[in-house]
Amino acid sequence: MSKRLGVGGQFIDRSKPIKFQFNGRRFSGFKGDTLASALLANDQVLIGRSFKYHRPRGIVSSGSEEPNALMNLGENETFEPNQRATTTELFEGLTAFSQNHWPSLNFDIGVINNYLSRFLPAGFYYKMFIHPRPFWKYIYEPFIRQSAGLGKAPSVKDTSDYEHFYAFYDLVIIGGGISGLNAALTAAESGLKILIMEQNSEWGGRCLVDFPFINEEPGLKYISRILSELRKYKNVTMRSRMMGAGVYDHGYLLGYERLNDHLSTNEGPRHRLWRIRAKQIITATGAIERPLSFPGNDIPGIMLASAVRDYATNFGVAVGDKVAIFTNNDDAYRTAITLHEIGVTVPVIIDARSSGGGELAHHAKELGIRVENGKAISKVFGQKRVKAVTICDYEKSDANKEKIECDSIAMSGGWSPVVHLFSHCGGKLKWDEDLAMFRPDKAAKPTSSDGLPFVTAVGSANGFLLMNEVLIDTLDGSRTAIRAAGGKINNKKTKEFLDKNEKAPEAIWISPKDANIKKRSKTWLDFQNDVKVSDVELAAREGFESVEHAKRYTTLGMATDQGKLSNINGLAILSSTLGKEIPRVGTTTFRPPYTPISLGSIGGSARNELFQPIRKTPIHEWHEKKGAYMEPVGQWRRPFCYPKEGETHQKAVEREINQTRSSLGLLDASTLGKLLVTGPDAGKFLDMLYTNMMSTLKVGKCRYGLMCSENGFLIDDGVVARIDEQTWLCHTTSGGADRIHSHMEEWLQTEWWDWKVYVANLTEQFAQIGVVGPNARKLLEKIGGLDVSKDALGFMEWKEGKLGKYDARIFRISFSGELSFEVAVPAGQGMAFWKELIELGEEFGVMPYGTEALHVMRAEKGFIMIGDETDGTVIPQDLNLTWAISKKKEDFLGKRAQERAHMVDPNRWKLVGLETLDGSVLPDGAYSTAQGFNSNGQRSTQGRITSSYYSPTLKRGIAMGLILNGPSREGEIIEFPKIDGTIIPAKITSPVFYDPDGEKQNV
Amino acid sequence: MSDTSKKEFKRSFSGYVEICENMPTGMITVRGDLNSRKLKSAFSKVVGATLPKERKVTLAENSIAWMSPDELLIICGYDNVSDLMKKLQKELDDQHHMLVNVSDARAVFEVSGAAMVEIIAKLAPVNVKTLEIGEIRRTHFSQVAAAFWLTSEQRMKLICFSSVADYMFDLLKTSAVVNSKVGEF
Repeated sequence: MSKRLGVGGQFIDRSKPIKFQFNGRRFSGFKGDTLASALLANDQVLIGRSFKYHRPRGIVSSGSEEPNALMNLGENETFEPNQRATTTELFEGLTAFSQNHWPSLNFDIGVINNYLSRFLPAGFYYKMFIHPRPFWKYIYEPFIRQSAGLGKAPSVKDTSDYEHFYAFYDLVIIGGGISGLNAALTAAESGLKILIMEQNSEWGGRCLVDFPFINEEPGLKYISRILSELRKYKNVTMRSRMMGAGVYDHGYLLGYERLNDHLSTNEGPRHRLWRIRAKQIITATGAIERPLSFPGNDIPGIMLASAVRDYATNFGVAVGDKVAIFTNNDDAYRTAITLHEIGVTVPVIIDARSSGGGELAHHAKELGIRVENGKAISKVFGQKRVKAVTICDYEKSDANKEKIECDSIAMSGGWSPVVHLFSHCGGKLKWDEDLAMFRPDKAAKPTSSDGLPFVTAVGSANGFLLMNEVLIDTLDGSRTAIRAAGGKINNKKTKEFLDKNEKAPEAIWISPKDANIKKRSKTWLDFQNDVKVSDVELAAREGFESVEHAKRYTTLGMATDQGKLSNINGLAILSSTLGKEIPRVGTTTFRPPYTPISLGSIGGSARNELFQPIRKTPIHEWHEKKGAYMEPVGQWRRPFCYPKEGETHQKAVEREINQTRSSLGLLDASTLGKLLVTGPDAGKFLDMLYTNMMSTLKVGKCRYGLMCSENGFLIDDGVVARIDEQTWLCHTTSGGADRIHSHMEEWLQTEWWDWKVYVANLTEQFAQIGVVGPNARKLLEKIGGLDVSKDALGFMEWKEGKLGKYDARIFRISFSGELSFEVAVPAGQGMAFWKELIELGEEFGVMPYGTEALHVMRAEKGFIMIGDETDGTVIPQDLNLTWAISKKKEDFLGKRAQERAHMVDPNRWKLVGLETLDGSVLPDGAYSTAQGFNSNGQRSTQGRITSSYYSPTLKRGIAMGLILNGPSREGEIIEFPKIDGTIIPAKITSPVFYDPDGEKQNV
Repeated sequence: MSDTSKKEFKRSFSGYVEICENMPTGMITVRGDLNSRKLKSAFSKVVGATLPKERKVTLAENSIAWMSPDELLIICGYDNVSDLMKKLQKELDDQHHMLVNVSDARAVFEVSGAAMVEIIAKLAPVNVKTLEIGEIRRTHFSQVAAAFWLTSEQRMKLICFSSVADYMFDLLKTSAVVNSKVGEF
């Protein structure tokens, strides 16, 4: 059994017990424990089920590479699936549930897949769920959805807070082990601003476990001495519980800081995403131990040798009573020695190398531990826990077989440098034959905007495993990075460290060497995604020769651990099956993040009311108070309508229109774009931007104008007012204000940079209110001030002065067809002005109206709306707006494009009005069918609806549409099929349904 | 809203820094040739302050902020705008320029406290370590455009469009809640 020992555990505080729950059972651990160490201390070795075959699985590692120990963590608003027990720090009240089993962890129905594994080979899903097609929706998809995913999806909204933090450093060091800390120390006096981050809560990395002494100084003391030295430097920032998540172009780097995951409280931000710019990055990310591939290597109780000694040294936990060791290198002997020292029996060390190990092996033998060289494991007994192993000759599986009892196996297949962060931005790797590892290629580091390297890997992350080499490489690499960042170099030397004499590892990718297919089908590569040696071999045989293809076909390395343990073993199998050398096969691509980061941290504070900025007009608050139903218009929220109690939106819109047409309505038009254009060349400039002539507009007058892109397509429209000799005020659509402002600036800055024109966006300077309806003038006269009589302020004219106590600019323009004034006042006066209009308008039954009433009224008048009648493919000519296109002007944006063959094609669909014969409302966007079929076998079409509404004025459905030869077909009846199969016949009419002579607006 | 004349600010929040939204401030956008002698003399005569260098603010009773190579922003009392504009207009009459009142289009915030720069670092992609007093940055705070400058080591002013004032206030507030201090500066 696994248990807590009476002594040891440098991370835990035995005076501080902590209670937690796993699968509803109460357990207890100590402060400093991880969830994994606390579970092991309570003999909880079985912690989950595998993804595909639901096989029992146990903890494999002690760090972020863990493939098995994934938990549903927390409850309700703190619930989060797929959390690694090995990196989850224990806190009071922690609750965890194991994943992917039903009905219970101990008895799981899904394990039936395990016995069907012969029928679930690599690519099973691709092969099985293709035919017959009709099965997709009702049979295959629900089945796949049912079995997909490990953890549960949260059912309640996350209430934690998250934030971002922008930070800038000369040098960022990722990894706070012996290498990272020494790099920081080397750089501390360079004059650079430095950040060093460590993903765990404890600094020191493997040094604390593997090196009891660094040149006569105890490892723990050595690390704390460096830490206290570093803390003296103001230019060095140190953050633990912060992971280097990704390295991107030009020294951009993401740091993922976990602030209160280890606490019972949820106060303050939970995670903080550091968005860092670094001149130089040092990756001191260490190395990860590889598992060995042998039959039954996924049974609970089988762990990485380094993890076994981590649990012993850091947490005082023995993972078993009898721990067999299986290795191809010297490092695993450290585990044997550690275990022996704390009184755990090591029945055998199985060393695949026929010549055995070096100094450490000698030491183990001296301690009386049985060492078997040239041997391998050919079978593991036990299902939910290791019971025994059969060992045999590595070369020959039926020779010298012997069954040895043990309840745990510590395995070591050598070490792989953590090259992820080095590789994220293009760093290349090279294969080291002697150490059997991919390591960073010094000559192919990631390069920045200047073409020079900006990431340097040091220490184990750079492929150096012996302490002396690590220290020398760290000093060397740090100096390179310091110099590149512009820092000063000191000449301190490292003290030589006397490493134990280690013998080289021997690459063994399958054990025993002659394992048959039955054994290879029980030899796991990827524990989380259940990929076995036989699966990769099958993929290779079926032609998936590229490592990227084999990965996707078998799902090797595609689980949440992204193959941290399995990738190298998998591609070694692939290369041997293909008969290619490992470097010829290569690795899959390392992509950020290093381990999954929370979605909350990516969103940062952009949630709830901060999810998206909402732009509010000066009168916004009033609309909300009156219960307006708001709709998004760009980032604005505008009232769609103002429903009264018990009133539908449709009825509200009708009421608002009837009131406006019969008496008086008010519109908050503040969102309308207002661009001021001034300068000696402003007239010339506007003549280029608009299709019609703006330079001839008289001061005090307004003119409707169209704006096109270079390709001739209509991009915006609005009323332009001439303010003075050199100044025009251009109204744009609400959604177009910023876009058209940029459009103007772009032309002025790139093409016509010598024209004397300035543009300012004054959209928000003014509140603009539409006072609309037959009684509009009466209301303004009631307020008093400016003369707004017909003679004083004619249609399409503007005036400014005092209106009551307000500084007003009044435009007599109409988008509704009624007598209408748009009154602009400084935004700060907007609310008071609006309220006064409402108050004084009471005698006329004044009502505010929303955007839908605005839309219906303009459609009744046949006015186009950018975004309804236009969609980026429509030119003014399509909309019969040729009257607004100047023929006198030599040039304007879009002029030449509108002369292209396709643009002058007489068969372009053109704007007409449409009236249904039965008075119903046509579906917006519906197509009218024509005779015959097109080349794709689809029914031919002859036009489509661009706007469609119920007109309360005409008491029938009205629509506008673009129809083939439309204007010449007035009176003709065409058909619009609906989605339900029925057909609506509609008559082609003029698009102006209401007051075609414009008598109403001109009073 | 009744008696705004006596209020010193629109709203405020106390977190690990202090945040307040100021009462309306006068702002005039000026565009023109910033190197012209006429413009310089007009400013010293009318506004009473020298033109700022690139990315700087001349801090004075009427402050002047550099906004772009051909744009300045005069920050003054709300009621002084039309007077200043009239006088400037007169001085610059024969020169191509633009003068517009943008006071109502803007919201002004102040953030103060020992950890003030942390709030900037949480929201804007700006290296606050190299910021100087009187240096202006046009950038974005989270998802909206903003400009800010330090008026002292522990105080900054920020302007944004008034339509997003609520968003900005909530943003600053959220970043300043106690327990969220980074401790980096």
